Amino acid sequence: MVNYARTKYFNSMASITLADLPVGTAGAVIKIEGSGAEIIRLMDMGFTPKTKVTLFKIAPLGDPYEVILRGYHLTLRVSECLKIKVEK
Amino acid sequence: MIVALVGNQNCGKTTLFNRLTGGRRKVGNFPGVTTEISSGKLMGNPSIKIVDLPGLYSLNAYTNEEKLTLNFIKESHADIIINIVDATNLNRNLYLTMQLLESQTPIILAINMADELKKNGTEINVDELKRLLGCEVFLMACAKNQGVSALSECLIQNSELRIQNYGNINKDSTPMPYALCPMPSIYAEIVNSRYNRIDTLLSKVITKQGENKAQMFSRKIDKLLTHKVLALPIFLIIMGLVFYLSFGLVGNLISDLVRDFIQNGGKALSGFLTKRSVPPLLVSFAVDGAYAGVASVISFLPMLVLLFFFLSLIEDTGYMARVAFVLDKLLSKIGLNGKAVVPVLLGFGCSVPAYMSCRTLPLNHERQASSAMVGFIPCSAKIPLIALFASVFFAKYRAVAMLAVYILSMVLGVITQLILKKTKFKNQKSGFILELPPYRMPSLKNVSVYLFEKAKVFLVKTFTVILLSSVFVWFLLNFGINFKPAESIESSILAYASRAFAPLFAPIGLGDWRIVSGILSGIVAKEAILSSLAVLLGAGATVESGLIAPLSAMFTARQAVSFLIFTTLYTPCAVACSACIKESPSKTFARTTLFMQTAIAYGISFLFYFFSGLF
Repeated sequence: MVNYARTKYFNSMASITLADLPVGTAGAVIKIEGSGAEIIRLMDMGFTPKTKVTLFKIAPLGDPYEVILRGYHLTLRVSECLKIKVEK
Repeated sequence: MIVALVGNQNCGKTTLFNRLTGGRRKVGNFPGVTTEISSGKLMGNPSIKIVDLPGLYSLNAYTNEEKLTLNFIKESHADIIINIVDATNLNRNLYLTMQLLESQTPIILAINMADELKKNGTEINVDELKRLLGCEVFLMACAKNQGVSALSECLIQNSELRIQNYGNINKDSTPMPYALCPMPSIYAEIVNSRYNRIDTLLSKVITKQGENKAQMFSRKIDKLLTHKVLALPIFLIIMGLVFYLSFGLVGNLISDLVRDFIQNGGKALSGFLTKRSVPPLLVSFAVDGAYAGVASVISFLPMLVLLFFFLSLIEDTGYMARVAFVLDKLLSKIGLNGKAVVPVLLGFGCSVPAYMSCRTLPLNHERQASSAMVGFIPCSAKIPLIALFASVFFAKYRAVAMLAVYILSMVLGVITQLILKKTKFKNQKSGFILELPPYRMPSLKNVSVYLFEKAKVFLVKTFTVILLSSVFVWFLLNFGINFKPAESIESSILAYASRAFAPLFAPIGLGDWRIVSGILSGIVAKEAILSSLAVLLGAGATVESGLIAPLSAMFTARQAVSFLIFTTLYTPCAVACSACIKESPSKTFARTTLFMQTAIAYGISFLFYFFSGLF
């Protein structure tokens, strides 16, 4: 299964998102892009600058992703991961 | 004094509520089990009212339930708020605490699951935490009833005076307004400062940091249960087993026993009354009207209880959240959300809790879509009907016929979802932000309490709605339009009414007035279809076995299929309809979906009946 999000963003390494992290590796949040209630919710859930986020697992059908941050497990869709910019 | 329980989802609010009030409320290990405000009195001091609120992650409410809780806090209905936090997930749980303290809400901090903390080897300096936060802090393990009494004593001692304890955090500054939500860039700063404060706080009070053992254990289980290849087969096997055990093996066995018992009861009742020279009309009222209707329903109580037992096990262990995670992609293809597995699975038991659980979906269009889907899940009340028709008309292929009915219904549900996705909910965004809680041992007490509640609701429904409806059907059957006892069923009120509706059902092959009256009584309760057919065909209390011969005489195979299609698909029972409308964010949409269901039922039955007639 071609993961559109992955290939697209891997090719331009200019900006890495949470969706681009290899499974099992961690990154630090830089910022969350976009607007709307969903973004606010992601921030409230603990995605703040410098927070360490590990991409833990990908659901069997390729979406959503399971991440670990602040000591707990959270799942979010690829579309949401794409809004979270991270650095390795 | 009013005390409100506020905290993140799945941190044990309802368990604490049950401990404080001695109440019986459903508990789960799925974020968002509490979907409404409920209240009870504190054991030991009835003047203190405890209010259980739906969980929320932030005072910036995102879902409708969170808004419910937020409004309750905002309008200061509560004299004091017990902010309950999960000890094993303090970092994120304290975020809400920070918000509450900022807005100068009087709180008591209850740190739940402290026993797990001990097991992990983590130590917290409670006195230091008290000092830093400036509010009362209690360590407890609600599931084991540890530390709860200290909290309730504190409540009783302070019941006279309103606690004026606003914490240390923002003592000198003006309180922050609730639900402050400016530009994302500014908000990010605020959120960041809150989390920084939590990090500093925790570094001071956590004297020894161990590893989260429950989480490590969960990761091991998840290696299998959310495995790339095995996850879906495992889910199907588990669900297959659940349905086989509840509706097949065990359910059937217990139901048969209960049914035999009830049938003998009917004979005994009729014999007893006749011997006491009770007028035949009254005997008929008691046996054919009241007893037959109620008995036919009670015989499948065991199935329902078993199904809910397994579903509540799945939920309490935390597996349901994994199912949502695994199935989200599949469900999102038809415009649903992974969280919709809860209403869909509950729908196989009873549509009423299924419609109510649609609340756990965060966005309005997701709730509407899920509730439209629930309508297409055949509830367990339809099983006796489907099973009986399948065995009468497709004796050899009984299981296949039953499965076909289920599949047809689900396929139509999926098609409806696809149409909704392409039309009404076009361009609607949806998200899937779900916490995966660690697996926990389900507590036998919680599960049994839940089952007791479910059985009680079911029995209350049986003895009110169904008793009334079967008595009503009996009345319509035994009395003529002049309100005098009818000479024969042919001249009864129901016969007249059903004959009036019959032409409407003739195109789908169901023009017989007796069938029509079965369909009409099914609007009240699905169980009533079979029980009123039983009364109409003179089978009395010997419902199922007595129905086989008259049924095969009354229906051709073609009519039977049309009848099955129509009764499986048409409008849910009255109780479910009212739940659907009450829960829906848009009453018009809910009414439309309920109407459309009957229209689709009619359409599909018509198509089947018309085309099968060509051969």
